[in-house]
Amino acid sequence: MDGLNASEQREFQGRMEKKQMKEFMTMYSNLVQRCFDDCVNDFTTKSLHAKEEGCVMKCVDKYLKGSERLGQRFQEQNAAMMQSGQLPGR
Amino acid sequence: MAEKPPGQDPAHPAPASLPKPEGNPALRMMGLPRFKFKLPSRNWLIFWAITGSFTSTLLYDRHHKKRAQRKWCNFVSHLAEEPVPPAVMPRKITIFLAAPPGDSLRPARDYFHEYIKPILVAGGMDWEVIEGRKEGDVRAGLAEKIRKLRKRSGEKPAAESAEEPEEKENSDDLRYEVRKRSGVTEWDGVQGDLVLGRHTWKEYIRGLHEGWLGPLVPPRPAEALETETQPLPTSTSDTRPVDSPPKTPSTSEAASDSPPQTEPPTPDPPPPKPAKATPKPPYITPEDYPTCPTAPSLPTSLNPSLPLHLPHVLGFLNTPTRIYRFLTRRHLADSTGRSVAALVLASHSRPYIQSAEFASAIDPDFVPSDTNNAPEGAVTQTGEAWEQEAILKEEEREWSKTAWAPNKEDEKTKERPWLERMVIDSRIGQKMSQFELESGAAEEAVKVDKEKRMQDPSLVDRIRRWTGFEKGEKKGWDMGLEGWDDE
Repeated sequence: MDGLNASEQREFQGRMEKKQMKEFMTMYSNLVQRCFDDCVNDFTTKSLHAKEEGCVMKCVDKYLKGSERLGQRFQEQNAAMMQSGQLPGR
Repeated sequence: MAEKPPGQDPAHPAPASLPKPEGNPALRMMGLPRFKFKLPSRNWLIFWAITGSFTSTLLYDRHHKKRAQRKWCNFVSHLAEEPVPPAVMPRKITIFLAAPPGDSLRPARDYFHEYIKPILVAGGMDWEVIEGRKEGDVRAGLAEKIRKLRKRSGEKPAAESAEEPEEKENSDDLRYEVRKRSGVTEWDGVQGDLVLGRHTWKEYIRGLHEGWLGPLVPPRPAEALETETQPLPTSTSDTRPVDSPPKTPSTSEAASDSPPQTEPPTPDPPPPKPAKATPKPPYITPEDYPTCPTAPSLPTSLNPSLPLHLPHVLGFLNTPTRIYRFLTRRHLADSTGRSVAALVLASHSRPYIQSAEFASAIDPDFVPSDTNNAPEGAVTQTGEAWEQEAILKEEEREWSKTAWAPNKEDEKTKERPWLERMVIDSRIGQKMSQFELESGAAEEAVKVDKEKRMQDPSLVDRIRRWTGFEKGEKKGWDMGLEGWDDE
């Protein structure tokens, strides 16, 4: 990354941003898909029922918190890996 | 009546002339054999009686064991449903497991998996296990854990022992650092220790004392060298009459950080220690407790503990005892479940007490096991004893004989926390407490269990749903396996 000149840096930055955006969108669409499938099951009206709304809230909450926790654990593993120079648990 | 008319003959046949058609004539006509119910032979009777009674006792016991476990699981399961904020680690319980005297680690582990783990899981607990394969492992593990805790809370080791190299950071420390940086906190509340069996309990107490009263770094090996150069008999009979191994540091210190035995310690051939994992030698011995200052970071109350009975008896002649226990595990499951539920709920704990009755409970059958350990020591002869000393005392009678054997010649300095009397310093003793269920919890548990079982679909309901008798639902056999219906 250090051996890049200014324009290459910019290009790199742009690609990284795009990649991150893409990842975020993937996660988001996964989340929407999952929670929609799990919670919304009545199509007789166009509005959400109270029950469905509660379900969606809980679903999103669970998903986000779960991935946050997962991220933390990954971070720890990553740190352990960086230090020992190999995969942890070997 | 002597002469009958011939027309009446078929209705009343003469008994002697014609054999009576046996059983149901219709079945006879169909050619079915005659079923005659009679008892099987004597040998079959004996066989079925023994097999049947054993099997039914076993099934009865397992059924009720399951019920008892489910009861206590249901009693704590509400805890598992409470969400924990993502930046907080779940409550972590420390489990202390050690191989029972004369046996391997397996029975203790099995006991944990069978009776304790289900309830911890039902209560949504996290746990770590400190395991001991040999006498002293648990003590060393706990002391190390406490010392780490002390270092983390900012204690600095005394300057004199700078020679001890900084210990390599392991993944545990690293994880701690990362968590601290990212703001992940530990569970805020009591954590709790679970101790399995009297032998582990003895080591636990010792480790607790060593951790909180002992130094942060191992005592300097100069002292160890001194004792090592002296022949062993004199070292046991010198200034310290009541002695557990005189300053054990020598053995594994030499084994761990110096090339094997550079200095010739004794006239006899220095046995190159086989690479067996020996527990880290204790930093202090029970005799040092009164003279040791407490750690500045010693909290006002230690983690409450839960000493649990670990039934374990060895020997061929004890087979009847083992069979009896095998067939009455429901009681064990119930009592263990009850204790573990108290730990999981952690709603109530009481401090241990000090009283004369424990002293009388301990002393009469205190066995002066080893010549090294004189029982009448400076220890506690005040007439009062701590409750901790008497806990699970009855287990010692079931220990295998090998547990009481004195140290072998080549390992005189091995520590024997199982054999020696427990020494409790009042500074530590009064900070300990024990988990307890509040009164009425048992009835409560029965009630909760009943309610939860009412909510669960019964077997009949499940069968009805599966076969499609339930209105408005897809038939179970039409949906594939449960949980697959989305795909």
